[in-house]
Amino acid sequence: MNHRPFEDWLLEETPLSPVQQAELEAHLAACPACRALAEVNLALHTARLLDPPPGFLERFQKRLAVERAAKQRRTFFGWFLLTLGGVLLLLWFAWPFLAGELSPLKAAGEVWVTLVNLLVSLQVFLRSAQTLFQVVPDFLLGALWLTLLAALGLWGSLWALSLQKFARLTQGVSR
Amino acid sequence: MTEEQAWIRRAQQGDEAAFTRLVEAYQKPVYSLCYRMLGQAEAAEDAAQETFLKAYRNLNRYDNERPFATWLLSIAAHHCIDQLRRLRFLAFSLDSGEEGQTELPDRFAPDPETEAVRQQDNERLHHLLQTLDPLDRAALVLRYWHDASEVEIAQALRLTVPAVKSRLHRARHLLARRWAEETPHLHPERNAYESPAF
Repeated sequence: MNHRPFEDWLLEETPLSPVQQAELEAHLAACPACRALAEVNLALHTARLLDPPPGFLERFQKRLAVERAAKQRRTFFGWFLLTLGGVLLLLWFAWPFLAGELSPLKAAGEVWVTLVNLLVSLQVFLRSAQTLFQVVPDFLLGALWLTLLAALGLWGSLWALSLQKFARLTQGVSR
Repeated sequence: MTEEQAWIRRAQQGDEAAFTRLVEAYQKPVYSLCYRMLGQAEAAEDAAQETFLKAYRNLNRYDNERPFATWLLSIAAHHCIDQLRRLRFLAFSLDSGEEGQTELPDRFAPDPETEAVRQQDNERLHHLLQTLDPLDRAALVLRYWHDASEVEIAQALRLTVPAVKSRLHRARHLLARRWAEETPHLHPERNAYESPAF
């Protein structure tokens, strides 16, 4: 039995003329394979969309609330770790200068000034980091975060070091 | 700007109520696609919910020039295909049985008997769909349940248009063969003077 062009008509679902339609119907009466294809076509064309089970939207809203809480927790811990890392890095770079200055009492005032300078530098560093991370998409990899953190920490340390040296220079001039 | 585009814009700016409106509008097509792909109501609901969550997380990456339905159904199709591939090696019953969802008959159909036959055929079709390759199944579902064009299907499934055509033809051939195997009056009969059916 020659299935062409009947099979092509059924697969392509081309509109048929009345003569072609009559030929197809005659063929379908004799060909089980093409009749099966025609029945599948009919079933596919009469298929309907299904409604989700009742309460679908309410269950989704609960899941969304859980997702939102998880995202807020991730953001909070991300900022906390970033800030902690920055502070520790700054302290690590500034410690040699701080350690020498802490013991003599007469240098307490200089230490206080240095600390204030460091805090101001830290504040500037945090503000810069906050601005930077507000524009960086959430999907940055952890490794990239650490790299950025280290770079910002280094910049903050250099800033603190230059302020420290400037403070010493001005003291040297005034003496 | 249409109402839907306004919801999308507001949802992209963080308005959850706007996103909920989108979920309300698309829950039926997304759930339907997931059900046809996965074959079970519980798995379909889970997949549909996960689809909307993925859409919510990636809403900023949605290209406003593209139809939102195509983008959303693409997420659903890929999620279901991933699920099916993960389940490939597990014992998986294709008989939906009690876990299946019964399609309610159309009470306003002019001919109840025809409607009952139609519903029976649809249940058979649903069962046979589960025997297809996931990508073929996705193409078929997008084409016949969601009236997607071949171009839209190609975009949604990341295929070429000829590949989509080929998959649709192959899927329908396979469905027809299995349909005939299950239907007594359609068992192919070969007479001595005729060439083979396939």
